[in-house]
Amino acid sequence: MKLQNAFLLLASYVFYGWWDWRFLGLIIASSAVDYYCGLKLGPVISTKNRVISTEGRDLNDGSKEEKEISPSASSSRNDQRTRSFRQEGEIPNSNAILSLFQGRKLYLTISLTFNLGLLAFFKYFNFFIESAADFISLFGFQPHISTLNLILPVGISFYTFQTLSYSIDVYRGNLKPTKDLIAFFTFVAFFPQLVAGPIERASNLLPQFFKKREFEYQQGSDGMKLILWGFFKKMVIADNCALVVNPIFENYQTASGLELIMGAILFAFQIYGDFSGYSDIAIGVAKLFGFDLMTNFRTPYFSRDIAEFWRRWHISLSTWFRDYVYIPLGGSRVPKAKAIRNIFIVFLVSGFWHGANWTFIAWGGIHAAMFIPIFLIGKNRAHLHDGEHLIPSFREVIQIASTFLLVSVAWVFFRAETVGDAVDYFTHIFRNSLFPTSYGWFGYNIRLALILFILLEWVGRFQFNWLERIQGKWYRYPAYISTIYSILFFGVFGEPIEFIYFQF
Amino acid sequence: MKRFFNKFIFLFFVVVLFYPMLIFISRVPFVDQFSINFNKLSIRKGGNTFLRFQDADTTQNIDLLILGSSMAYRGVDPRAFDSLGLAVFNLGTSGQTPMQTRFLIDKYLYKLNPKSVLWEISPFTFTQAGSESFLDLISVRKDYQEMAYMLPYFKDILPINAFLDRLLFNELESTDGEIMLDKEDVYIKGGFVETRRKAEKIPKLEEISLEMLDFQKEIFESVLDSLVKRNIKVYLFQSPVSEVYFSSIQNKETNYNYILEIANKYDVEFFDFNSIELCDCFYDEIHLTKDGVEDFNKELIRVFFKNNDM
Repeated sequence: MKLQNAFLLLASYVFYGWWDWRFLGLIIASSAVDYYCGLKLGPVISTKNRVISTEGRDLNDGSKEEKEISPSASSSRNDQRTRSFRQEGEIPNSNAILSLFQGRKLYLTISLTFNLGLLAFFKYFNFFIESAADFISLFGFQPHISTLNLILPVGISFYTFQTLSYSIDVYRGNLKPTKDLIAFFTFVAFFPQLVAGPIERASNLLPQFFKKREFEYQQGSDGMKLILWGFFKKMVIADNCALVVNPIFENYQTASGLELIMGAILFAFQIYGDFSGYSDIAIGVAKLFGFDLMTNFRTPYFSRDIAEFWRRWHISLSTWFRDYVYIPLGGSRVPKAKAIRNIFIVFLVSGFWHGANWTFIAWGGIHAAMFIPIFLIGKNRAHLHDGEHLIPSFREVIQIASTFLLVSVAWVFFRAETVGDAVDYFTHIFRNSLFPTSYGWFGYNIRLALILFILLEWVGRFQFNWLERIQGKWYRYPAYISTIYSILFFGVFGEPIEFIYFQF
Repeated sequence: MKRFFNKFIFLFFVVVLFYPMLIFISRVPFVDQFSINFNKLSIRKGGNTFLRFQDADTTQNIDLLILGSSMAYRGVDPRAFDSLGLAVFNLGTSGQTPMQTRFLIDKYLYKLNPKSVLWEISPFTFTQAGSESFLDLISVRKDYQEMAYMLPYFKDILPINAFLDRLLFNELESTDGEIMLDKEDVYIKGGFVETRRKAEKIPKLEEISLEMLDFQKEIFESVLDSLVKRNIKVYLFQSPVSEVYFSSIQNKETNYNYILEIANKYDVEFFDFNSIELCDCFYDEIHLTKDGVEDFNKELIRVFFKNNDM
């Protein structure tokens, strides 16, 4: 097991160093800080009834149900902590408890400051400087600013969030800190999900490094199916869409109205195919090594409202913000005005996580604005379960189509260079002539591939993908071969089109 | 693990076994509209390349051989050298990269036996393995099988499919079928293609950086080395391109310095025709109109051949 972990760590560092070996120092530093802080954040003090050791053992009575940390729960946190000490047979005096908490807060602060500091410096430094200068210039001053020529380390937003989840979970007492240096460093740098997620929780992934892993046929087979479908999504759907979308967004001033509408819709497919394709490949590769990563997408474009969309899109990030930002802020169990504030904060921060540009903040803001009306009428949990029928009702079709259109509108802000460009994009839909002029309609190949894709996604929406639904080798093998041939037939080869989320 | 690998290998062989069927299906009318990675040979307008090789097969012992991409065969007119009394042949082909240049040199150098070589060096052709050129060549050459060694260099699947297509189903079609020339083009004996297209305003282009590939640089040097060792005088040049395209290239100085360094190393002349004022007569980003070619060819002769010292 230790050898397996050491090999994985070496492979992960080679993988990351292949891009730019100089940034290996960052990931090692981030791992080292959180490993050290984790140890210092012990001993384990449970704020929940259930504490998971990094070895995957439930340290408490398994019959007790897990409680969500909520404002009501956090208000009695000190009582619970004191009870935990008493349960463990230690009854320290009040000064000892105070100094212990101060120490724990200190190490949590170190972990937060270091990781968020890395992000702030490499990702947001220039943005802050330029935005501050823009703000000052509003008052008639012309500040002389100098920005830094920084390269954004690949995957920094992903691995810093992953390692932060460890520190926070250990601080909260949900997870016992690990002493196994190799296992912890491998958890941070695990190569399949290092550069673009899924952002794993320490409580899910870290215990898997303490189990002896042997190749299991079913897990390997499931992994290969995910990899295959992931390649289809990336090479057939995302990259073909990119070939149409890129020229439209670069020349939106001259594109026709229909082309602009088409560009926005195809970008929705591009980003879904690109990102969920990468996630599928990452989860599939992890399965080949005996790991189960969390699901990151559950057919989000079949969502019937925006709230459902956010339960299905980039699940690892949205649940991260839910657990570490939204709920600590009070979540929805506070007065309405505060809850609305919390929703806005989470969506804006989530947008900002994607990149140092106002477009991402605007994208987050738009989603917040679309989410809040549903929240206010209490319908944000109306679609917790999938519709189980194969043929959707007319009402569902309308709900799905309208949610998709709203999401596509927001994607324009995500894709545009500036917020002004995004607004211009929409004005040109009505200002320019409606019919295609310079860029033409997208080819037959992509039309057919998209129809096929939507149908297969619909059929496979209850599994990881449709390939898992097919039973019997006489059907399975033709399905695999057809998918491989579809990639070869319709896929984009040649100069690689980089995964969109690599830039985050 | 054994079961997994057995099934994986089985699947791999089934995919390979039925692959020719996929290539055949891709040729079927209607289906060909969907297959972007197949069936490009029969729709290529490879006419001028076919005529050029037909022409080259009946030509020998020339004074000057021109090599390079479409900027060579559309940009250097052998007739412009009549006044110098030089026998010139233009062996440029679409998107010709150093790898394809070496193939053609191996095929034609002995027969054409040139005293000098005028080689158009476009940094862009160093940035790729040359799938456009490969498709152009295999669609018209009967010895296309000898180009199989180029296949591992391509990142694109299209050249591989095209090669298999040619091998399995397309033996005669492209070489003996109707020669399709663009209606705006006229093939001129000696390898040149004259265009009737008019000058166009070139829209603004995105900034690009042309990163030259190491293996193309190595091939470029090896070809240059072999030419120099045969006592063939070599002239390297960068063809004029539109101002819009020229200004869109960020690293042109790096690429220019590289070519200059190699030219000095082998003691050959090199000139970048973007460094002098020429008429801005382009029908697209990189190709000159008929007037542009005349203007450029005068300058080319003035720079390289003013003393007619070949």
